[in-house]
Amino acid sequence: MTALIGGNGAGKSTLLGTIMGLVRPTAGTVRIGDVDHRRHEKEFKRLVGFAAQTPSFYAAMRLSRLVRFASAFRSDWNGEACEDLMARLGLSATMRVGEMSVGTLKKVGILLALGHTPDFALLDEPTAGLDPTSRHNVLALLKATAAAGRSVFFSTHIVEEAEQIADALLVIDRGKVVEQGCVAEIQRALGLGESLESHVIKLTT
Amino acid sequence: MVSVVNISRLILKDVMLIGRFFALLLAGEVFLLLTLALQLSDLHSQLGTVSSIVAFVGGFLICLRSTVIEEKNRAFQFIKMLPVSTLELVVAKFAANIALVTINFALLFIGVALGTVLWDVQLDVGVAGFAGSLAGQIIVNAVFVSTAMAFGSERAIWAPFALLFVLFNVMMNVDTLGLTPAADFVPELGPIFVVAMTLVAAMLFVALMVCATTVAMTLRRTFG
Repeated sequence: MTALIGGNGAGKSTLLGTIMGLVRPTAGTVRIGDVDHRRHEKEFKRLVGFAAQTPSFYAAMRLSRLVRFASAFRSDWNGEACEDLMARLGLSATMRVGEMSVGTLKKVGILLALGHTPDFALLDEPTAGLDPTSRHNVLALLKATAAAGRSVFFSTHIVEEAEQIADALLVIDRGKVVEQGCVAEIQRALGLGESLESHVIKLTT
Repeated sequence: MVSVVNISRLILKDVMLIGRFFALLLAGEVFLLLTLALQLSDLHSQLGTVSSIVAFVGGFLICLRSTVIEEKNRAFQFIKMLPVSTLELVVAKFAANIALVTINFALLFIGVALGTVLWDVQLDVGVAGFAGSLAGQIIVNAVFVSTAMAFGSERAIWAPFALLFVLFNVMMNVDTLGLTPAADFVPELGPIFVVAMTLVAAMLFVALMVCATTVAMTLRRTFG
């Protein structure tokens, strides 16, 4: 599990959007193993589950229909896992998308990203705008996803979150990687004199 | 590879999302035609033309609605997360549009044809005329859908209005522009040939617009 940390405008969402093909890269390619995003777009998206920072869905649909619609495109959709995720995230199938709060939309985004048990889960600030209980549930869910052997890559502003659940850290500032490595190793290198948070602040200001 | 199943699912989604709007629109069109026909008996012999105009306006509203539902919900961003290619996305949007517009045209045409039987008048628009109007609608809508998708905004749908203005002016000035010989030549070919050629030409144009839209969407810098 890797946490992507950076200040506002550092390029976190742009990086995740580039991986998912929402932002066209000016150079380079995005690959998972041998699967190149541009050449094998559909195969790439089968491997990845993505939750956007501000998810958008069809306002007129109920959650049950939205899930049915999204799952129809994924042969590997796991109905059981989806039911479990809905229960853990506190989502009801009868809710209409247009009537959902920002936090609930966020949870729906996470549900659709993880519902097909992807090899790679990409989540853009998955806990932003969530109440403390939901935030706790989402972090536990990400932990469980990683424990199940799947890769999780999420962006966050909260260093404490990264310390709490991530194995590795990637700090970016104005589109450039300024620090990367194992969380435990970085903490060890810093010693007791400096917290990870103050280290990140130093790197990004 | 293009998946017909994916395209069908996307078409179904569009039809479902604008189904209620479509039903209301159809009811409104029928109501408008009925009230006009019941009040203006002189209009009975021109019902074919009038219904074509009504269907044309209705078809444009269908087109507008089908692009608005995507942009208003920023839903292309969501679709782009699914294992769906840009080509499938574009083909489905065009196909849903053509299907709904054709149903709208066909239902109004059948309704008006029944009305002319009731009022015992000759329908002023034949199958060839109907096909021509439908082809015109498909071409105009293709430009609108393409513009809205390529620029990622339903507001862009208004941009090709200049083209519509030029098209109407050309149609109204066939004689002045010296296009009469070409227009006279068409009936000699026979109605079935004209219908087939008109629809083939419209479909070729749509295919061209699908390709152009797919390329434009692929080259777009950002999505959603």
